[in-house]
Amino acid sequence: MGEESVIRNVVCPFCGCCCDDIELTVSKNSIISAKNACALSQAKFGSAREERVLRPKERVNGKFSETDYERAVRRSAKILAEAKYPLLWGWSCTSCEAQRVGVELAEEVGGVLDNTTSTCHGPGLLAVHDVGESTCTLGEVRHRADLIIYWGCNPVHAHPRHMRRYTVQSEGRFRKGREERKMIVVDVRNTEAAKMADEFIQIEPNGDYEALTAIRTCLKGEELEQEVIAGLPSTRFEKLADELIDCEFGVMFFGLGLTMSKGKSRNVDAALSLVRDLNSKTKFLAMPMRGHFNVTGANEVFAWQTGYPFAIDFSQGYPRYNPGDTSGVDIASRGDCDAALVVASDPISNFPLEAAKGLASVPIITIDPHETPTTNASDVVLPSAMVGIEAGGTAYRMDGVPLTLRKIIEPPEGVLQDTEILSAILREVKNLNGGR
Amino acid sequence: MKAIVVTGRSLAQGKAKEKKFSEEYMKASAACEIDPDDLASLGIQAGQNVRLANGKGSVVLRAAKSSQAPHRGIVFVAYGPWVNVLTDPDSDGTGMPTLKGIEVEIQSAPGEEVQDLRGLLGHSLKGR
Repeated sequence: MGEESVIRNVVCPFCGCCCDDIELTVSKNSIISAKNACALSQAKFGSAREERVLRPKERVNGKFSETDYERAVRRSAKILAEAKYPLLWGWSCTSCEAQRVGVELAEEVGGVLDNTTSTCHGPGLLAVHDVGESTCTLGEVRHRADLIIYWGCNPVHAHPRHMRRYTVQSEGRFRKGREERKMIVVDVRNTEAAKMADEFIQIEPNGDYEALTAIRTCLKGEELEQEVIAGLPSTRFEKLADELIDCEFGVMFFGLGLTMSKGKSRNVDAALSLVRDLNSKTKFLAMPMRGHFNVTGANEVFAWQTGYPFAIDFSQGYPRYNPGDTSGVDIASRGDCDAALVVASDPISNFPLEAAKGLASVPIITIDPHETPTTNASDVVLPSAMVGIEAGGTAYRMDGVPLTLRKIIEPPEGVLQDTEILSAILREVKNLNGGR
Repeated sequence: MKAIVVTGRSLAQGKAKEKKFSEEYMKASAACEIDPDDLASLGIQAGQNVRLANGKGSVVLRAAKSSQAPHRGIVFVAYGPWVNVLTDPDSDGTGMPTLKGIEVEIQSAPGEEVQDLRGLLGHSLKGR
């Protein structure tokens, strides 16, 4: 690795776009440039060696001290095996192979297995359970879509290459580019994506359900009784309904503007129902803008293995699913869990503070490449290789297409992969449980 | 002044999210984007500090002039531990806390400092 080498067709391990055309230039086991990468991807590849945890650590008498993997694994297994209701959280920034070991570990310790879907598109999955989902791959969008709606999301910031690779700015077989596609953005602020749109519809915060229901009402040929809906004249929704019917192949991409606002799962329920209704008039599909690069994979793997995509409770010896009860933030804020295993996630930063405090009050084991507030609040820290950069595996793009992540450079000396660490903890837990 | 907080990904926060203790992450996540007319109503300029408070907590953030105006009464804060002082863990039975559409009271905070990450969480998490 002394000389520069170029590695092509690398899958980016940042967001759910999983762009698979990245060209990395590598020299002396360092990534020195990332061609085709967006700003988020550049930052991820470029700062792979910053703020790393390089040795396992454990807290003894309130203070951290370095240890080795063997001891850290033994202590982790003891904490999990002795816990009555451990929470196994994270999983969206690791590989499907690691997620699979996580399912077995959760079952073995009788814990709750939840991924970050809980705090992103979880409400959307609840809506899918209720009304189903008309969807497709991003390739079909690129080739065929003539109307793109971004509702409650700003791809310029969160998915910077989404428009160029898959939607309005992409060149498809039947739609050649921007001039052959219409773009509508619905949001509460005039975002950068909204500024690029043919139409921007600025609704009030928490007005999504009302707005979506108004469009559905218009589609059914019924009159809107209110003059102002979600802060806009009702005539605006009558016009929008006509525009949606007029397209040949429409796609609604929805973001956390729906899942995090008042109404939550019911907002997505209304969006998916609208798309279903539109299919009686034209072709229309929907897709969530998934955030972490393998959050979709976490849903897939967990659902294959347990029947449920997130928030799975094994405490009764079989998988149970009741988001709102068996989900990470709820468990942490109620103080229900008595230990936690965090894999490739930083809940102390990302949970509401009340929930973060609940989590920090129990023993935490964290497997992560980086130093974070969660590693600092942990009792055992096991450093891991960065998946998609220092370790290979499988990830699912936001449209459910599996892609192969590659090992590009070696991890820091002695640092293990998530799969190796999790497998070692699982073996030790089984030993403690008497080999059952 | 009453305001509605909307949290979300920003490019700057996303770029720094794996360097949590960096100045870059703090700059991106400990700031709130305010409509220019609301900045005037508060009697402050971009770069000055404001205090956001609600029933869940209170936090000092650096005010920034929004490039996505007009959005009177709406304040954007990137995901992160600073805004999570204000968020409610109640998930309404969905698993998802309310991270958008959060009601707060906002006021200028001259002389008050934005806490760094260790200060912000160290106090709340018993020094861990």
